[in-house]
Amino acid sequence: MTLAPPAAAAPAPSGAAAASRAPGERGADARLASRAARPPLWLVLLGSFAALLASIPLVYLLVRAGGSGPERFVETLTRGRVLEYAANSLGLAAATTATALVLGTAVAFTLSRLRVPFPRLWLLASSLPLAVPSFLAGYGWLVLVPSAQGFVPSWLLLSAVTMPYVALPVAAALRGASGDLEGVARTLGRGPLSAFFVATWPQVRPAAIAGGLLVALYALSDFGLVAMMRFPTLTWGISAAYSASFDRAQAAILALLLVVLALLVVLGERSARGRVPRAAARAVAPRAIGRGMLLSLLPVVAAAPVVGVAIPLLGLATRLVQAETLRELDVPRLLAAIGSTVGVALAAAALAVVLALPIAALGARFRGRLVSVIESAGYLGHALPGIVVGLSLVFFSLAVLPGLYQSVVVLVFAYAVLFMPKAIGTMRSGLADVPVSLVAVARTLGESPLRAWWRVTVPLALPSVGIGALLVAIATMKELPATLLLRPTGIQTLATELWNRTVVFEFGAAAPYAAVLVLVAAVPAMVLSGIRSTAKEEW
Amino acid sequence: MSDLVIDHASVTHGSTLAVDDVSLTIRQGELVAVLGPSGCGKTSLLLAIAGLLPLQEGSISVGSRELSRRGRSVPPEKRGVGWVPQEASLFPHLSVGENIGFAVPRGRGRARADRIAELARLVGLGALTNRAPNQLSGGQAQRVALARALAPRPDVLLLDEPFAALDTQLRTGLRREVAELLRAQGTTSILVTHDQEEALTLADRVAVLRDGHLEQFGTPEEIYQQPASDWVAQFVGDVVELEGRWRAGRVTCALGAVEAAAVGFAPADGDAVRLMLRPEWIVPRHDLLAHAAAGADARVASISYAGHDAMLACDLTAGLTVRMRMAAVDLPEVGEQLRLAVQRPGLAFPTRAA
Repeated sequence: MTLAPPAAAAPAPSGAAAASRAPGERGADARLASRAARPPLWLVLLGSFAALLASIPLVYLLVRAGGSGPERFVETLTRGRVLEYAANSLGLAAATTATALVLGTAVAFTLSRLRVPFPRLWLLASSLPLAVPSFLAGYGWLVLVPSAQGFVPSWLLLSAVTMPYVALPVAAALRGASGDLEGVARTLGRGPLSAFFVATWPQVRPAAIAGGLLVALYALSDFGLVAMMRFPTLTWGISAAYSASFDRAQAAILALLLVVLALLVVLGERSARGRVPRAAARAVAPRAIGRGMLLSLLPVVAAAPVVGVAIPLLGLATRLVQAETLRELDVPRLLAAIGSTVGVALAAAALAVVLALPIAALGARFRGRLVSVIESAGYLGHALPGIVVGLSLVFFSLAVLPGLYQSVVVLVFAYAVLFMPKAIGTMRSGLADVPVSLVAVARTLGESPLRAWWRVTVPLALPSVGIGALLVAIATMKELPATLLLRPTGIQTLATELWNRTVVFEFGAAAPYAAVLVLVAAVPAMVLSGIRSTAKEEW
Repeated sequence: MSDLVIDHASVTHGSTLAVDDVSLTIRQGELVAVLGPSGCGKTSLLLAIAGLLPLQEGSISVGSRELSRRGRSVPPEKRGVGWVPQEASLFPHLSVGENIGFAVPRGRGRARADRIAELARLVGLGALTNRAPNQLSGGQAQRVALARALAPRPDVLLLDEPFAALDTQLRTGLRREVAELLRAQGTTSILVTHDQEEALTLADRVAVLRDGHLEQFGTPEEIYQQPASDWVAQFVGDVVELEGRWRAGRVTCALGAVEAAAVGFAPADGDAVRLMLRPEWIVPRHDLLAHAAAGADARVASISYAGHDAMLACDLTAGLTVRMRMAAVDLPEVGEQLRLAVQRPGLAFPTRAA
């Protein structure tokens, strides 16, 4: 099984670089790259070590759940509640993925192929929902509409929050897709719609499907939103089984079921995605549309930012400005939560970057079975729901390292495993973008391999390391389910404080934590995703 | 003397043999062009000399110092071989000055800055040392790459199609300048190119490579006037081919009995051969006929005008068409009758196997 970097997570190489380095090119770069087929042993050892660490949660979950024996498996899985959880999870994931695919593709098409006013601004707005953690959006809605419960609100809100996973890569693919092909199809007698499906859709499809994978995984692994909206999915079931009974085997079996569903989604995506060789692209000028058309498209484009960002923030703001909220504000407690949130985020970012570096270095320059196994292990966190990693590490630390149970070490390690794929993705492409010939030039100018790496590769790849670390830190600050399971007694993060108050309907007391979470996690995420999506559009 | 000696060198690229048993001796200070179509192995040969690709067979040495042989290779940083890659490959995170000074050791005082300034002046970029590489034009970037490679005073400098990405006018000027500079520095240089004109105008000697084999190694004039094979003849310039019969050092064909040298074989009188001429060897001057003892009446069928010269297609009375090149002054008109002569001996090759 291989979990390749998803198209959406790994920033695509800039169009200019891709165009100047055509596939099958016979230049010195290609020849030097193909020569280095065998990675150095020390790098393989470091990468294997990181990969082993990253596979601890999955492996230990298998050990733990497998230890229960087949009868117990069958008995647990055929319980009425379990079947209901699984059906709810699958139904929610399917509905959310379908909605995000249709809405995201429509938004991407509107913003990249039709002439709309302020296209950049709309693109930025469409990327905003990514920055809002689902449970924060859920909190904002519950403040305004306390009766928002069950499947429909969960589905609509998750669709709004995940829509950018489809819209952004599809918009980029649409810009990169050659418009000439569509023109050729038209001159060969196809109508506009038929020409789009024949010529352009195949070029966009892989991006849409890869985005759909991210949406499906997000919906399967979401815990905070569905728990707030009382829609019992598998993640909710795992949490309930873990906290309600001393028999933790049941939680392990449910977690394994969830992992199997997630891996099935990943495998399905890989077989459906296919690969399309990139044709030389010429940008298509956006088509002018009438005012009536424009007005009818506005709800499509505005839906996700309004539902996923504007309304939740409005709900948050109404609570925040109430006098009662400010009177109840416990400043030292808030400051402590900020401190621990930022602290664990920085530690997780550092650990994730250190673990990701050898894997990214291997993936950027080398091919082969061992390399792809190591890379797949590094990307495991991408398919593992947070609650599963949390649960497995609870078991693991209790059984293997009891001294570390409920310590910050295990918590930070869980974050690193969960979000390492983000660091691998950016650092891998950052390293791969350093031309082999530059390092070779440095060698001919008298530098040893290590010095050439230090003087050329490191400075060129450093920005991608920084971005990778930032992505991990932001994701860590927004993480909820693993934090709930693993946080040491006495340590609260912004996310857990918000969660603890919201589940008991103390919306006012939750508001300051939600607001600070928006400031420290969501705002940098918005800026970063804005920079990345608009920068990608410019090239 | 520290000549660069490439002795029976072979380089594999993947499973294919990119360079196959090539031997070249390049004299110190010489500028040699390695010419061949794309995929002929010329870049692989260059990378092997730089120590960036291993040798499968043979050896490479400079003077008495052996640089490469199978399984043993002096690392690139210790070979004293400079490399100017295609598309310059400047370090994007360093300024122009820092690029040039990459290999100049940091020491006390102004020695390093002076050396950088001297190199920048040498390549005509004195004022640009503070620029970032992305602010340079293609020609300027190549100058920086050249200065950067010259900085550690290499024994051998390798240039991999350094002018390929430039537009025609810039290319002509820059390559002449670079050739003069390299000669003035006395650096042994190898220029890889697929452009015949570039190879012939710049190099002291030209090595023609085809499918990894060395086809010919000689002066530009030898390569053009006395190609070692009909492939080389066709690759380095335009040819006019005529069927004919060999008789005592002449080929009897539609242009008369043309004096010719047989290349690579010894034809007997009466054998069918292929006569190969350069278009500019055919001239509309019957005063030469007595000397050349070959000539034919022809009618100008078409003229393709190229400014400095023109290519004329002429219908021979025998029913064939030959192309001839002449300076574009006093061109005949289409339809005009000419008397054609061949002004120097042609080349005779075996007829192609049917």
